[in-house]
Amino acid sequence: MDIFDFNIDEFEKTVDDLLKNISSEELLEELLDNGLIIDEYDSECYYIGEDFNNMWVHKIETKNFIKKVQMLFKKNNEIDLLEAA
Amino acid sequence: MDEEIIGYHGTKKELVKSICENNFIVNEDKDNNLFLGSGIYFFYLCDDAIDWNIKKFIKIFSYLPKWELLISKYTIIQSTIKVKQEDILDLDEKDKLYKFELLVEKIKGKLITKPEYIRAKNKTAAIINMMYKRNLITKKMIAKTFIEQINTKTFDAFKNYPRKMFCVKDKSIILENKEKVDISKEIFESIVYFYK
Repeated sequence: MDIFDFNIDEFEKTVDDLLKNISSEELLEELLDNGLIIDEYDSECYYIGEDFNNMWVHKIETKNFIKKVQMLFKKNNEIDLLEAA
Repeated sequence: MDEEIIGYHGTKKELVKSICENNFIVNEDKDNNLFLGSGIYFFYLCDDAIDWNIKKFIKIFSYLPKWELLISKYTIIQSTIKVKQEDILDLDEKDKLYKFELLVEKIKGKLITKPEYIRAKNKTAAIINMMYKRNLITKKMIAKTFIEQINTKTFDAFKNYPRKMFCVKDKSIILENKEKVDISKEIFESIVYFYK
């Protein structure tokens, strides 16, 4: 028998008791010990958000992406200019 | 009442002998945690395990394999699991999922002042692992259906493809492991169709 066999009131009470007896620091530490991953890219990435499955975009990739778009834009402009000439 | 379940596990060819002779080894490596926490993962359908192998192959070699190449590197273990109904935590059941959501939300509420938690990955696995270590969850397996988007060329309604998986937490419920050798090329072709 575990907490998922409890009725909803017992379930909530057990979870509340657990969280009452632990500080947020201790809880975070315990979750880290159990596989929680704090993304090491923190300082090197842009964080997109929880709604997007915790997506991170690496700044290097973003730079390359912007460069590619700029190159394409430049190339297209050159073609336009050639056509105009 | 005991229930007998057949599960399918995609794996590397070289691991077959060890798994069939000595059972699975639960890898406690933090990076190896999937969404249901530490344990041995199975699909209810063999097709999904083949698909898993294809995905693994693509992840490592970056191209879609031919059938002969795939089966030379990866295979399927068919496992027989015997477990009591009350020892299964099926998160497809609404009341169980509701409780799990409550648990996740309450933990999120407790950690509201910790932005690193909001950005963290592997939350559900870490929560499940923690609850097991504290003996607050003692079920021998957890099951859940996950939805994957596949490239159907017909109706949008067919794009959402469900895959039901389960994670064995107590490997004593695994009675037998054997390599599934009778997989047809036809099944493989039907799976890779959706990759093209």
